Amino acid sequence: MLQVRELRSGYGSIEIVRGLDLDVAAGEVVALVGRNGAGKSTLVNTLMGLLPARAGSVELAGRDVTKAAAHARNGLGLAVVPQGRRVFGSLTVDQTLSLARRPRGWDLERVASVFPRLAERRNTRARSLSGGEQSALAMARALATGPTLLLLDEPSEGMSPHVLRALTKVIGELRAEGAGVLLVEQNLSFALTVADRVLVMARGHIDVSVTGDQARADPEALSRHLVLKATRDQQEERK
Amino acid sequence: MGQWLAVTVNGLAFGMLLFILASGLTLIFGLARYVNLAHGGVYLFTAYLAIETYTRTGSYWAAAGMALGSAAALGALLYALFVRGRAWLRANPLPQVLLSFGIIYVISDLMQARYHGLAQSLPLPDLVSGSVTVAGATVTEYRIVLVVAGILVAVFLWLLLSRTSFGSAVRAGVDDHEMLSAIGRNPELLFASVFAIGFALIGLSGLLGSAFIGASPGVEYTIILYTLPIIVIGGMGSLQGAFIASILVGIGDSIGKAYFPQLSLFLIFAIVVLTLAFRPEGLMRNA
Repeated sequence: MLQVRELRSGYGSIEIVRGLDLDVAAGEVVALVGRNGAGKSTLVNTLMGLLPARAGSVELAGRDVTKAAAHARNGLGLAVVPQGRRVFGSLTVDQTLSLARRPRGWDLERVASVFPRLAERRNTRARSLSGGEQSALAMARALATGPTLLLLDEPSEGMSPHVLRALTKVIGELRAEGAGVLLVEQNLSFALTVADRVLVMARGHIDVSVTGDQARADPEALSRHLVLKATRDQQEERK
Repeated sequence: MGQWLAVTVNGLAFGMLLFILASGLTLIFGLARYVNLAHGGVYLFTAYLAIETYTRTGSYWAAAGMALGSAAALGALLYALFVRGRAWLRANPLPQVLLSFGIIYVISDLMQARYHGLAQSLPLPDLVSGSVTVAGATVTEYRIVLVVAGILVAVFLWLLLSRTSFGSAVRAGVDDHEMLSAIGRNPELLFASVFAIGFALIGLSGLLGSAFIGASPGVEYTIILYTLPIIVIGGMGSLQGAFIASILVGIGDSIGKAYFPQLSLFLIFAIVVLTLAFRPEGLMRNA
């Protein structure tokens, strides 16, 4: 579904993603964890086409989309729930979902089955929604486009346990329908509840790859690795 | 009483013509954050074009089609040539203003070459060439046409932006054009459409204005002198603000010209100063 090879990207003179390889199969949930500054959000922006790749390739459903714009990638089934929600503040819930809706995407009825509060507030402008409702709307907006591969960038950030449960349900439904999910998370415990595979990102590339079962069998080992890695990275940065 | 009413209606008519001009400018700034001061030149070009088309064909519809169509095409062309893919230009108002003035100079010189600096105006259609007297005030029918046209443009833009999918996309693009792209909408196409619609509105003002203030050398700069206060008073990017400010400027100008002509421009800029002093972001803050 998604094949990334030797991907490089960054901002200005700083290269943040450095030769990264990544695969997400149909119906697979891959969690990408790493400390702040590891390059996770830069990777998400590059995969979505919001930041140009400097080298390497991105293939989506067998098609090379390395140079494709974000709207073209979305047309091929790639959708994103960005960090910080980034909802359209001046649009109502209804207008947002109508704008994003594709024939294969989720309609308001299906969205309401997972996020009932959104249906109750369908005529409210996004800027007037609570933080949790905005998170749900950002999720619903991506689902309305009918994704075959969903990128989730720190979705649990600021989410209530209730919305987090709904998110877990959504990920389960997408997996059952054969869609791939790339979940970028700092919340390791949430990532482990849904992931089929866990990748640790450090200094712009994938450092460790384990199955979800291996990670769940010894989550402490993964946590220790993250802490250890973060300490080493900081020491190297100081040098 | 009669004279006051006539002065007010005359001011309202001029204000509505200015609103149609300013709405094109506001729409483009609201979405693309692009300061298009070339509207003065586009007014001159479309006014001359409407007059020439009418002179050659005798058809007001042909004149309207040429003025609006050529303005829309010019807007899309300018977007494709100078704005598309140039993030640095969108982020910097100064080069936008300089580019705008360059376009005005080019248009001015082309119009000078073609029309030899002659002032021209479109003859009024017979249907609206008379005048009406209400409460002792005599007002030409064409001024009433301008008032109605301004209100229709305001209603059209309100419906377009608040009741259509295109309007939702425009507002979403103003909020976050990257996320608009991420849900499958092509923001470049949307920006080009907004440039085309914005320029078409300026073309409409050229058409309507060609029978009111006419086309003559220098009018392109006079237009800027009147529309910039509207943008400042109304609030950058706000159509509601532009509507209210156009009425204020139009009526202010009319009162000034009728009662103290040497101070008419002073009156308009006094409103600008008061607005900047008490509401620096303009009367309406949101697009």
